[in-house]
Amino acid sequence: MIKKMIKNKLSGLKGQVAIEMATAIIAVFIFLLGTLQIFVWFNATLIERQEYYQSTRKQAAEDRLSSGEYDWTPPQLDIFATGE
Amino acid sequence: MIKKIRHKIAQEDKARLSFLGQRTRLLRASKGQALAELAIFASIFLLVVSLLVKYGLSMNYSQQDTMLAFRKALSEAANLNRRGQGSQVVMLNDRSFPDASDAVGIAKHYPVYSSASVTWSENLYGDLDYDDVGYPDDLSPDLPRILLEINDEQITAPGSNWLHTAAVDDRDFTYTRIQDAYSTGDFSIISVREMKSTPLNCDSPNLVGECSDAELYVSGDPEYDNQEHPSWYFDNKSVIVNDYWGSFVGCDPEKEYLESTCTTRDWTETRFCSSGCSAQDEADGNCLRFETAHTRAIDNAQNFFAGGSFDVDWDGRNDTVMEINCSDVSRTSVSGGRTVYYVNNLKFFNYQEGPIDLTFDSRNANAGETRQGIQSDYARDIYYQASIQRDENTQDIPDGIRTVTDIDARETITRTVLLNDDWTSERALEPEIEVQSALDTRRVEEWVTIND
Repeated sequence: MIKKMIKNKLSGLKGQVAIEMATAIIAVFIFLLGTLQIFVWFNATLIERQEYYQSTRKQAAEDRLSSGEYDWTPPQLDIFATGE
Repeated sequence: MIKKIRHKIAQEDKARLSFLGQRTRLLRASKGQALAELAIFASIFLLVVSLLVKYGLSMNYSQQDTMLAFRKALSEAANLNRRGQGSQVVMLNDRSFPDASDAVGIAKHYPVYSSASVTWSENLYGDLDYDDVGYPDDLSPDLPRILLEINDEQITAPGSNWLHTAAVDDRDFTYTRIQDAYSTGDFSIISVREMKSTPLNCDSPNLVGECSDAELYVSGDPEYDNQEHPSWYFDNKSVIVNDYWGSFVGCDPEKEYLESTCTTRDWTETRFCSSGCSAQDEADGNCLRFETAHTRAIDNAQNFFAGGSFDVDWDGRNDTVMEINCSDVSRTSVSGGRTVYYVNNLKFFNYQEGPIDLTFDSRNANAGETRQGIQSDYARDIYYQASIQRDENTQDIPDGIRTVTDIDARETITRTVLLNDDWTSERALEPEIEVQSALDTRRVEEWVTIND
């Protein structure tokens, strides 16, 4: 009798929130991962640009008829990269 | 026990029914709560992410432009085709940044400033070459310059705007360069370079602007070549007459003037010394006479007028006279027994051409409001076109009103560099730079149901 009453009382919980929470957590993790990849890419761009700049310092000073431009392309942003 | 539980449940039900007015339980009313919270907080999260992305982009753009500005300045300074002492590059780029807080428009533009200055030490010493320059727009390759680059378009002309003195009678005169200085926005002012004084053949009545570092001194005499003690120099729109070597005769021009040895100034027959050097013949009125022991080698007793006269070709005639109106002189004592005179009005006279209408008056410089710098006009054009349509044939909502709003958004930024080189007006330098964002076109449709 008591179990039945308790079961009736709890009958409104049909697992709806749990299912929605599972979906939401998955979505949040995807957002976080994507955001992290973007920020890691930003940092990698800053670092690689600085490395290229430092490595071409001497040549830039020696090349006295250059236009001053430098040829550098940023690394590709791959959000779903698996790594190597 | 069971009765108590039943009674408790009945009381709770009663409370809920009285509260909601319906036979529902509180838990059942919470449908889709997690998804609703995700929708609300995710939008806030996306806003924060866009701000952080904007920050990361800004850092990258800033690093890139700083490096590029330095490389450009380095190549300008090191260029084999010119022996300039240095160069300064100022770059301004309008970059696109994502802006999630802005509902309309693809991307807003924000300016990214960067600048670099390079001095190539190899060119710091040695003679500078001016003979191959022309007036007024040619740039001497040996003078420092500022390179303005706005959105990848270069503006190089206004590095200098100077007086070019031509040789007289094919004699080899040294030249005086007085270079205009200007500021663009918050950037530094070009320093003024002066050279050895000469007769001035001034095509333009406009004289120097803001000459913060210029010095004008007489050549030939070793004393005058001593750059530590120039006879006079420009500073902050005034001429400072430094009588370090000599003595100041006095500011009683009419009296002194009549006693001057006017015969040494052949060119002045029309203006000065026409008959005993009557002061009335002097169109400039009173003048300040400055006597110094450091005269030209030919006439050691020569008296200098305000700034003095120079005999640069050693023929016994004074070629150029700088004259300063007595009323424009203020005197300041400097430690060490020196007296420095600050003059606000400076006039030049050439022995062959007579008085040169070349006045330098700082009062004009301060008169009126003129603009300088990189002026920007920012326009953000957003067009809305809205219409209301009543669609009677729609089966789903027969009594509905559909509103359609067409939005066209475009951002335009125009930049012009203004140069003030004659104290009274401004001129815009070419080219005018314009940056336009892409056109963002959106359509918003809404249905409104009319309930009778």
